[in-house]
Parts: sequence; structure tokens; C-alpha cells
Amino acid sequence: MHLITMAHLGEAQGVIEKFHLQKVRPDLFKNEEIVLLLTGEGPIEAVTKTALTLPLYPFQEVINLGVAGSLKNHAIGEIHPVRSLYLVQDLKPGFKSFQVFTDGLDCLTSFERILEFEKAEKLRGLGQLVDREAWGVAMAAKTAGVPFKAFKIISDLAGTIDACEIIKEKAYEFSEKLSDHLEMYFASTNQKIQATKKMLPGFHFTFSTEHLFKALLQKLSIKEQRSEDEILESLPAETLREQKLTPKERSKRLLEEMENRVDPLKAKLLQQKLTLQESFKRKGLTITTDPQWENPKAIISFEAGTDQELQEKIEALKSVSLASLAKIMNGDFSVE
Amino acid sequence: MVTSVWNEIYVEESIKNHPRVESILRKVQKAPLFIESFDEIWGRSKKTYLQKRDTLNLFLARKHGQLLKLAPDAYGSAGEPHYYFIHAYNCIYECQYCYLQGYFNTPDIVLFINHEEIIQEMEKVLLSHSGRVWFHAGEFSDSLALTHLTGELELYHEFCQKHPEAIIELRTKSVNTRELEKLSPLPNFIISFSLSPEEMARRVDLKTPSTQGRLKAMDKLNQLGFKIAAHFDPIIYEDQFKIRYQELLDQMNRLKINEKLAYLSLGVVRFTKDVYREAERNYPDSVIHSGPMVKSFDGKVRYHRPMRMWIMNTIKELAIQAKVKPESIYLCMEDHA
Repeated sequence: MHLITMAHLGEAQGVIEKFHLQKVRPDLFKNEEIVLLLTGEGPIEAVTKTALTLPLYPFQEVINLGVAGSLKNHAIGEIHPVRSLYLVQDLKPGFKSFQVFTDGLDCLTSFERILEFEKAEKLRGLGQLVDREAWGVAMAAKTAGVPFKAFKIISDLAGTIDACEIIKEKAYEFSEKLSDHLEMYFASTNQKIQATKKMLPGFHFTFSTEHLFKALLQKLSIKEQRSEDEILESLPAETLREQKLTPKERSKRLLEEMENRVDPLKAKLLQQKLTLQESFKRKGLTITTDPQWENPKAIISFEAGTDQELQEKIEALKSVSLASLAKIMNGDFSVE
Repeated sequence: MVTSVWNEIYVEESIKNHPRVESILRKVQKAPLFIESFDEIWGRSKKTYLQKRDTLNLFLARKHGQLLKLAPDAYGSAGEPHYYFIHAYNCIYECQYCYLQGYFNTPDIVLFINHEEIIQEMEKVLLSHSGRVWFHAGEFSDSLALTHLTGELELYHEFCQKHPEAIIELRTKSVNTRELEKLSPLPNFIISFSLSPEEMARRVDLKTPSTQGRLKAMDKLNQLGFKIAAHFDPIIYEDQFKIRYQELLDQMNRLKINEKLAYLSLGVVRFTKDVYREAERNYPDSVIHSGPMVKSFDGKVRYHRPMRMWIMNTIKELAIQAKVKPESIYLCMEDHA
């Protein structure tokens, strides 16, 4: 379910009509997918009302929609995603800020209306938009662990005395634009969810191996400067499918293949490790090296049940060497 | 109408009549906003690194508190004390691996104007050591990129003239050598350039001069008699890295730079955990994430040790073949450097 927050009924009218929302109480409207909350004006009102509404339904995200004044001469009626949100009191930024979208404009939520040019001028370096609620809504959503988004429509130029009159006059027009934008946003996110589902039949991935598979796919895509689809096509999935392997074993082999392409030394290091382990095993000893290949030290262990066995193992220790490990750790090998 | 690269310019009230401030403001041609102290706005709340692309603010301020910072072990060539001097915070460039993206709360630039006080502090440090002392600029900001605005190079140059036991390193990716060229070369006034193979620099050193541009600037300074150095840092793995570094070193050799290098440092790409997370967020498709990264000996995220050593040994070998003096090559920020 989505929680939409807006400050006033005037700007919310378009959303109520487009999504056929029913009035639950004077400040709350809903259908099966969407709840619309009217927060009223100001960050304290916004944080309080959002926090009280969040426990009422199982929300998957909170979206703040509304008007904002421009500090930078943006065209009235433009809609922008919000990139960062700051709280401003006495024209100074507070410590807590929120990142919303990676692109967009930075919005300052102010405790007071910014109607004087001098005040607007002082805020210009902090952000491009000024509103009265978004930071409060974000604070409540982030505290509750619910993803937060915000879109603002430019309603006026901040620092002008007649800003409130312009907003009132254009309230319905803004509200229609905001509701259209919300509809587009829902449509685009549904498409994105479907586009990221990549299928690989005949393979079985657990939660963690799927995560590793995706990470390796991305690394290879970056490294080889090819799309993820091209990387997928270049993997030996078909060859592995033809082999008599369980789907889980097949996935393991595929991941090894991908890791070898990401790390040019992986296969060589594994081979060197096996050789080293074998040389210790022949003497009845076990050598364990850092699986991350970071710590140059190794653990050497053995089992002994009698003094004679112990003496034999001590003698065996004198005959083994760590020189090849030191060589590996110093990068002393060549890969062409 | 003059368009400015700066979103807004903030100046501390107490320095608004300082000649250096007046000079900077004349050059930037944008009306400033006056504030009591830069930190009432700068870094007070999180401003993401990429906001520098469209809303980069400039602050002119006086640096209080720590003016010099002792550099960690294995920072520069071994055996001598190394300090950074803090004349600015943040940088106009946008390198995808830059630690500044996770170091400060904001990418906004602060230029400190009290260089005389920084130099006094450097003189105090000199008195506390018996031998040579290194002072590095460029740890928190590129040391040449804005020198046409800031005009402090002369003061640090004078300091080097007066104190031959002090060595200043100006570390840069900039080709803005105009102010530098007005000065005379000194043996203890080193200009060091961070270099990567051309294609890698194009991919990760955003908004910086190209490698070709940097080599040209190095060549010019070399010909003027300036002491120059190079940093191959960070080295980022790509399958063709050996060929790429070979090409870079060959170019340097043709320009007769290699034999003149005061030093060449080699360092493989590395991040603190926080910076790595920021870099993943800011540049999810960057080549910096394509290698096998592990948490290393000092908690930093790097390629695993055999890979780092293999890369650095390979490049060191290439550098020696390309006439870089073996004793002038050092490995940066490795525990066994």
C-alpha cells in the first residue's frame, strides 16, 4: 500500500479524483492501494500526522507530493523529484538531512513561510526549493523504515509576498498535474520491477548465491564494458545444462567461471594453494591459508596421539617450507 | 551576463576586507553572502557528493584549530616526517574513487585565506625536527586547480627559499600552471602529478584534465627546471593494465620526464568502508568496483594482497625499464612498503 501525503485539500483534489479515493475522515482518503493523508502545513504537523498514520496500514512506501517555492527561478508548474531534503530553522540548516532520489532538486523544509526576498536570498546556497512539510514526512517514514519519495511542483518564486495568492488561484491546476505525475510514477516503477527479473532455467540459486550471481554479473558488465544481457549470453550456461549436474552444482560451476573472469589470479591462486596443501599433507601436516588472501600468515596443524608421533611431526615441520606462500603473497607470479 | 561555476559564494564577515578575499571576489564576479562562520552552513547537514555537479558553493574562511596534520606511516617516501597543510577543503574535480566523497559531509569548497598562519605553523614544526620535513598540499583539495584565484603559491615558495630543509609537495591533477610559471624553480618545491593511463583517466577522473594534458604540463614544468614527481595512484585493475602503463611510461620517457622524477609512488585503489559505500552509491557502474575487493590489513577495502603486489611489482618493473630510477620508486600505503 502507498501512503501519499499532501499539505492541503486544494492541492490533493486531483489525486482524490484520479484514484477514486473515499473519505475516511476529514484528513484521510483511501482506496485499496492508496491512502492519502492531509498533513496540514509545517514540519511538526507533517511529522506528527505521518507518524500516527504509518501504523494504520501495511505501507510499502511514502510519497510526499505538493507545492514548493523556487529559490532559483524555475518555471512555475514544473514538477521535480526531490534529491535531498533539509530542515531550515532561523534560515540555518539543521543537522539531519535525507537523500531521496539521486537526481532532482534539493528542497528546504522551512518552519516559516519565506515571503521576503532577503530571506530567500540567504537560502539560495542550501537548496533550490523551499516547502513546509517534506522533511517532516521523510523523518517519520525513515524512522519507521518505510521507503520515502517526494515530488514537488513549482508554485511560485520564494521570497515574493503574493506567493500564497498564486498558489490558491492555481491549486486545482497544480493538483491535476501532480496526480498525472503520480500515475506516471506508479506505471514506471511497475515496469522496472518486471525488467529486473532475469531468469536462468536449469540453475538453482539460494538467496546468497543469487546475490553473488547478480554482483558478479554487474562486475563483469562493468569490467568488460558489455551489457548484463551480453554477459549472460557469454556464460557457458548451455554447456553446463548439458552436463549431468544438479541445478545447485551447475550454479556453483557457473559462479566459479564468473569469479575467474573477475579475478585474473583466482584460478592460479587456487592451484598454488592445492599444491602447497598437498606438500604439507604428504608430511602429515595441514596448512590453512587466509581464504581472502590478505593475511600472509598460515596456520599449520597436525594430530598426534603419542610422543613418538609428536616427534615425527616436529621432524616433519622442519622439512616443510613457506617460501612458496611468501612468493604468492608478494605477487611473485605472472599471469599473461 | 557572467555565469559562475559557483552556486553561491559565502564569505565570513571577519575577513570580508582581507585583500586576498577582495581579490578572489573580483575574479569570481559574483555577489557573496556574508556569514559569521563557514561551519554554520558548510557540512552542517549531509549534502551528497554528486550535488557538486549543479550546486557547488564556495566558502571563503579563516582556518582555526589544526593547520597541519601529521601524515600516516607509509604515506610518502619512508624515513622522514610528512605533514599535510590544510589550505582548502574539497575539490572542483570529480574522481570516482576520491576519499573526499565520504570524508566531509558536503562537497562544497572552502578556501582558507590565512596562509601566513599556516606558514608560521610550518616554521614551528621545522624547529621541532632536526632533518628534512615534508609538507604536502593537495590532501583535501587539488593544490593547483584554483591557484589563479587564490594566489598563495608565492608565500609557500618564499617559505621554501627561506628553509631549504623543508620540502613542499604540491599534488595535483591540474594543468593550471600559470601562477607557478611566475616563480623560479627550487629543489625543495616539488610539483607532483597523479597519472593514470589515458583511457582509465577518462573513465574515472571526471572533470579533470586528460592524462595527455597533465603530461604536457609536466613537460613544461620540467623544461622550466621545476622539480617534478608522479603518482600512479590509484592504480585500477583492467586486463590490459600492463600494456596501458607501458604506453604511459613510454610517453613520459619520450618527454624525458622519467629520469628527472624526484619520486614515483605506486598505490593500488583502496577505500575506507564508508567511502567504498559512498562510491558504490555515487558510481554504481564504475570500473573501480569490478575487481576482487577484500577487507585488507588496515580495514580498508582493496584488491587481495597477491593481486596488489603483482600489479605494483609489474608496474615497478616497467618503470625501471623506462628509465625511472629504482630508488625513487615507493609503494604507497602498504604495510610492507
